[in-house]
Amino acid sequence: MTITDETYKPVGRFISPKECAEVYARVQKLSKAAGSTRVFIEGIWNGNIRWGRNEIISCGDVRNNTIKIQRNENGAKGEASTSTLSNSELDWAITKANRLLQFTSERPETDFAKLEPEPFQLPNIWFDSTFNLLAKDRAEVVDSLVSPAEKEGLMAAGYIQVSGRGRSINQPGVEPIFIRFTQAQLSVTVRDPKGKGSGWAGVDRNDWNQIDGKKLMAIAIDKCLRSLNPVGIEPGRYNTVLEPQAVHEIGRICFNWGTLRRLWAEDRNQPSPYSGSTPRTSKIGLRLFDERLTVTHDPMDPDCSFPPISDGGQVYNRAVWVEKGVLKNLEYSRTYGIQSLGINSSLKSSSAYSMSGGTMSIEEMVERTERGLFVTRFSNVGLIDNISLLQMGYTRDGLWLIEKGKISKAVKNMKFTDSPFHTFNNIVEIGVPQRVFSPDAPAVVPPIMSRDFSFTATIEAI
Amino acid sequence: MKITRRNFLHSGSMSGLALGAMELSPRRAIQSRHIGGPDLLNEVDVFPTAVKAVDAAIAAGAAYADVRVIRSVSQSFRVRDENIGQAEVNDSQELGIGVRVLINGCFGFAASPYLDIEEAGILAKTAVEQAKVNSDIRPRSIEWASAPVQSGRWISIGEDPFLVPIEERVEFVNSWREEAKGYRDGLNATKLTDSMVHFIRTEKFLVTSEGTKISQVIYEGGGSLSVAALPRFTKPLSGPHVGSVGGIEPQLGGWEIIKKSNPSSQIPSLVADAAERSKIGIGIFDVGRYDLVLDGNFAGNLLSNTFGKATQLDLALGYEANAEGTSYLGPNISEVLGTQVANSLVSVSCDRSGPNKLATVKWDDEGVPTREFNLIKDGMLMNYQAARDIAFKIKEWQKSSKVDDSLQGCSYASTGYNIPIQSAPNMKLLPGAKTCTLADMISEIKRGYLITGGFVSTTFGVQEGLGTPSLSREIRDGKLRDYIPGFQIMFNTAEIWKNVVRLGDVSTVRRSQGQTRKGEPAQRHAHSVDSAAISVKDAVLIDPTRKA
Repeated sequence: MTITDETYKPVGRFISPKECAEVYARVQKLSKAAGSTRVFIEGIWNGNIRWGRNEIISCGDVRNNTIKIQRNENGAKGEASTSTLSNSELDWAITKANRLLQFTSERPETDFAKLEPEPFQLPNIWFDSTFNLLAKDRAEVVDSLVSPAEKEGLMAAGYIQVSGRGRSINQPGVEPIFIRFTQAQLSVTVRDPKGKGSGWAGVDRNDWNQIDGKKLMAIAIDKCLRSLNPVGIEPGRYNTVLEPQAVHEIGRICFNWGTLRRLWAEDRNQPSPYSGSTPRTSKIGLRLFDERLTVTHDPMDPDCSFPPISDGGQVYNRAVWVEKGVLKNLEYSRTYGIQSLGINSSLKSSSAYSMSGGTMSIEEMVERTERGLFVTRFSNVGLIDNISLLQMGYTRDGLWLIEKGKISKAVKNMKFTDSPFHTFNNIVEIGVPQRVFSPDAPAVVPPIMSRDFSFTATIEAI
Repeated sequence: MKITRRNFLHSGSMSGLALGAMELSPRRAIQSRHIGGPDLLNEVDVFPTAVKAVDAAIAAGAAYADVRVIRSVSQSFRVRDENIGQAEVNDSQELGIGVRVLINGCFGFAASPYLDIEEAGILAKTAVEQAKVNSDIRPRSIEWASAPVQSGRWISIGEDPFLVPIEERVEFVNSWREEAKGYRDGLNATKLTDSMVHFIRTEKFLVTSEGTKISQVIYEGGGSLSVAALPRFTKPLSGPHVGSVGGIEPQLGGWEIIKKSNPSSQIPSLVADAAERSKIGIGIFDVGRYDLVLDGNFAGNLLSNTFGKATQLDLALGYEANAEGTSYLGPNISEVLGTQVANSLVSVSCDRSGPNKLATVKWDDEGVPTREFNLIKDGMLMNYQAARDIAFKIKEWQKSSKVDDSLQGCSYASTGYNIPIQSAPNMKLLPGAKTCTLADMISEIKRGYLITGGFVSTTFGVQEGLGTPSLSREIRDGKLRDYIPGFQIMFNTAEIWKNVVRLGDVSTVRRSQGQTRKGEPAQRHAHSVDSAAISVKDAVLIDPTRKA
């Protein structure tokens, strides 16, 4: 073998465009079989710190790569990945990909060598503030967050993670793609030492500077103190003020890629766009939600931006899923776009979404509630029925009774059983949307007051 | 229609054609180069780098340092009946070197995929810098539990599946389907739906500044084969209502567990079972309180998700509050230890040593030799599960109560990129000494249900939870009657364990698997549970679809 083991690891904290090009060149030289080779490269650096009982309990500084080599012959694909850039590992992955190729079916319409990559727009998702939050800065942030809890005699637990990534896609005859982006997340839980009360707050952003840790901590402390010694109340239907995090935890199931692909696309007996036989039957055009709800997915949205291309090469563009309550679009693949719609593009969800709202503050929403409940967030939310999206879950980190426009007392957590189709059709008031904690895919969600939200049992967990 | 290779592959509904098997062999002859998985790492290639990292960390001021090198290689195949001709193959491998250091009670940790001497120094320096800033800013007071110095190599029993030619592996899985074909045509609406196998090979190396130098190779595998009759009702609750799943429980072991298990021999009984079940009536239920017989499988799930979780010391004390949650057996652990947490029939022991069990290793990921310990004895809480950093918090109680206070070996790091955390071991709900079969237990129930398999989830404090049966059958006056689908069991954890009224004997013991999910970043770890069947009184049955 004449190729030397030039690059073994990136010089920086994650792989650079130049290093990606070099890896790709080597892979091309090493691939000798027929067909074409596509190389996905993702380099990641992440720094994290974790605390519990006001103590720093772990931290980390981690670098890694995924170099995925995809071999393609007439649409039959074989894939294998490795984490270092050495020739021997790349060679292993190529050989393995060639081997696996023999076991998959030919699907010429998915032959990437014959398809130009779909165009996309690149948002600003790189922030030095995130990439430069180093170990000392992280520890100082933790200290500044924990101290106020200590002063109150409370126990804080939490987690900060910052990361920087480079993502590259290389294939024959096409300009290589390289994008870099940062992600930051902070979440805090504050509990009283006897476990009688608990408060939480959290958010994720691309830009660390947009995360106000002190404010989140103050919210968590306040919630913890106000949640102490809850009383049990009867399960039943309550007008319920749901903070944005709670709305997200029941709403995300509607707007993630899985639901947009499968569930709305079909009634139980109707084929979905993905079986290739029926054009987009489904519920498109129907009003499914309150007219005040519009749900979009847009990598260029500065409040809810995300990488416009996935680590597997899927391009994401702007989509309007719901407009004024009416279902406007569902996901479809590029193959479906070409074959059934005559457009050379796909419409896919990254699971990020932005939901419209109103102008009301949460305080005003509470003032307008004669009697009801106030929910911060839900936990363990699970689907009971795939078609109606009926879900169950538990309120967590505080549940309060609203009486005569005021939060009157802390109540014990409850189990809920309800469908977002019900909740989002029974909106009485809707507030200002805001970014919530959703590290896997960003979300902007308003608080809402929903009529007759269904609570089915009281639980003891605090 | 002319059957070409392409349109054949696209018409999933064309079942019954023998062409299916063709797809699973290579499309054409290829070089016979062995490409199953990378060869095992050599100690001589790994230890010098790990030792260098430990030395560099100590030289830079660490009080303690350990280095884990973990590589895992995994592969899974799936052969679906509905899409004849599509074998799904997933392969992955990952190698990571992680350096952890301790200074004034604070950890530092750095990891990367680069196993070389230069990198060892970089990782050690990065980890020490973190531990220093953390301890400068917020020093932490812990007593690092001592563990005996260990050396050696341990390999779980198993024929390396990655050395078996890939064709042989795929063909073997496919042979199950071939075998099922005869049955499929003979029975109305009964079919083989899915078969799959997976293998994981994990290599773990550990070097500590205390002198421990060990390596382990762990083989894990499993598979499934499901036979189902078409659903006859559409109660919206997931899970197979009429059907049978056979196959190979995930367990430690290599290719031999796949070969030995011979799942195709299970097909006749699975089909017969599914057919019988489709004949017996399907009833409806009323919500309310009933007596239940929980088979070993369901009881194991209940055990794993309640005590398996609630006795983790970090959860009980609140260290895990921002992630998986807390525990009702805390935070005042001294008030809970030694108290009655279950009926006196209930005794639970833990280990990481049973053959073929998922959490079995010789040493945990902090180098502690694994051992058996009692978690619950005659209904009394005897211990918490604890890792090296916080085990000192229960030491005093252990000493005063004459409980073995040595470390349990319950620490786990899922990859080289993860810091080790406490993780649940294999668990065992001990069977009763007196003869008590499942039939005996059923015969004692006047009005209730037999629950066979299923899954259990609990709230974020483990105070309560929900059980979803795989299969449930009504019991009236000691006799089994209709299958009753669609309900869930809502329980208060303390109450359901105190309401155990009968304990099955050794014939009722079933093995199931549990999983620990915790940490930030999140880690997952599987363990095996062996549990006897139990009867519980006054359990609450609910309709999960009913709103308030």
